[in-house]
Amino acid sequence: MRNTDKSKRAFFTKAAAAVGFVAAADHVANLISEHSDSIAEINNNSAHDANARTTLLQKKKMTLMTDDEKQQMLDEILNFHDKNHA
Amino acid sequence: MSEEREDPNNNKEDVKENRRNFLKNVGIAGASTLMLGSGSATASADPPNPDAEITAAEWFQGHFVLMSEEDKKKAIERLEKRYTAKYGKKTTVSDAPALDGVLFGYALNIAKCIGCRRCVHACVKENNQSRDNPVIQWIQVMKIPKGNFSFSADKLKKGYPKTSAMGDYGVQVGGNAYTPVGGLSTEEAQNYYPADEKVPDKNYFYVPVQCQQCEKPPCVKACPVRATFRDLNGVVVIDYNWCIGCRMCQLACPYGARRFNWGEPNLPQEEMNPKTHYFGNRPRMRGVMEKCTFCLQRTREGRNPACLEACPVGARKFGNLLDPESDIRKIIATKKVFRFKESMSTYPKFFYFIG
Repeated sequence: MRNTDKSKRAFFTKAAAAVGFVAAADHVANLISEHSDSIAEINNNSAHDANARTTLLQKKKMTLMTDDEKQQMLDEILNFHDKNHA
Repeated sequence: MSEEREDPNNNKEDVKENRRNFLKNVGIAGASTLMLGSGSATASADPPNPDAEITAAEWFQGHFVLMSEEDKKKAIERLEKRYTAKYGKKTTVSDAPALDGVLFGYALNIAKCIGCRRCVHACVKENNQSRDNPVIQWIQVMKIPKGNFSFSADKLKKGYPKTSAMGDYGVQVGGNAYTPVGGLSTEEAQNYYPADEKVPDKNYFYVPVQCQQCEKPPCVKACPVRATFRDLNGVVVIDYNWCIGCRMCQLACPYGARRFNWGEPNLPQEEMNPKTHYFGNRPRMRGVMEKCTFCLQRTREGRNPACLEACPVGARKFGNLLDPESDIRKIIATKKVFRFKESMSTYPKFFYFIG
């Protein structure tokens, strides 16, 4: 009798914990979803990305390649491609 | 106290009863919260999701490259069904394979580009990019002051990559090893000049930047789930359904070429391009990365990318790097070609040139 009680109790404890956990997860998911769904939030995040891109691109330098550099770069690209896809 | 001593079994029963009631209540409360939560989520979304079944199937879908032919067919059918219903037009999703014996390369003539951004708009239209909230554009045109350009013709033939017995490490020695022959600094570049601005401004260069399709792409190395990879034509592609949206690739890209869908992309039905490719221009979803693919839905059929076709001054050239007679190879051999200084080790296949 006692064993049956124990197993029932354990089952109910686990079931209640599981239901509670799922409910909490669902609630949190809803909160997050509502939060990131707002257009302002989406645009803010996108603007942040764009600013990061601008900063990144403004630090670049493009250098002119000599003939040898060009050839070496091309050889490397073609060799690498051959090696991986031959 | 005495009562407790007198009837201990009774007390135990009470405790059991209380616990049972407590657990029952917790269970009921949890279930109610769950139901309320789901209810509120359903109520907040306008209609119930019509393609919930498709979404569930996609959720359990594997990496496209590793799928069996049958699974690929099913995945394509699911997407076609979903897009056709969503955009109200017959949409095809191709899985045409990469071409044999082709390594795509792209070259852009900085001297010719007038900064009109027709390439940007053609790209947006062709590749089903989000129109607003958020605006996503895979090509970004930099407006760079002409004063940032320097060039010394007499150094062009000097200097050579050093070769040693251990191998060729590409170390530049000789004439211009420490003083580059010339270059273009992007300092003070404007990336978002007004759309109605009159172009070209004679005091500026215009340099469109998009995915450089690196032969050794750092973004591919950064992806923890291999959702992005280089295809046989050297184009870096993304399996949007496999992407987990961690944005590691975005951080790794030295060219800022990758875009993240912070929200559900906003693509009007009437502007949607229904001819799509699985790895190319099919509509993306919220929470995944996207980027230029050299319009692989076109190039895998032997056509040119949309940006090239839209360019009114012929500044863009596209071709097969494996073919020594192609335009792209001739440009590399005969023109003054630039590379981004910090990114030599990524070996981009997008070249900038003048002349």
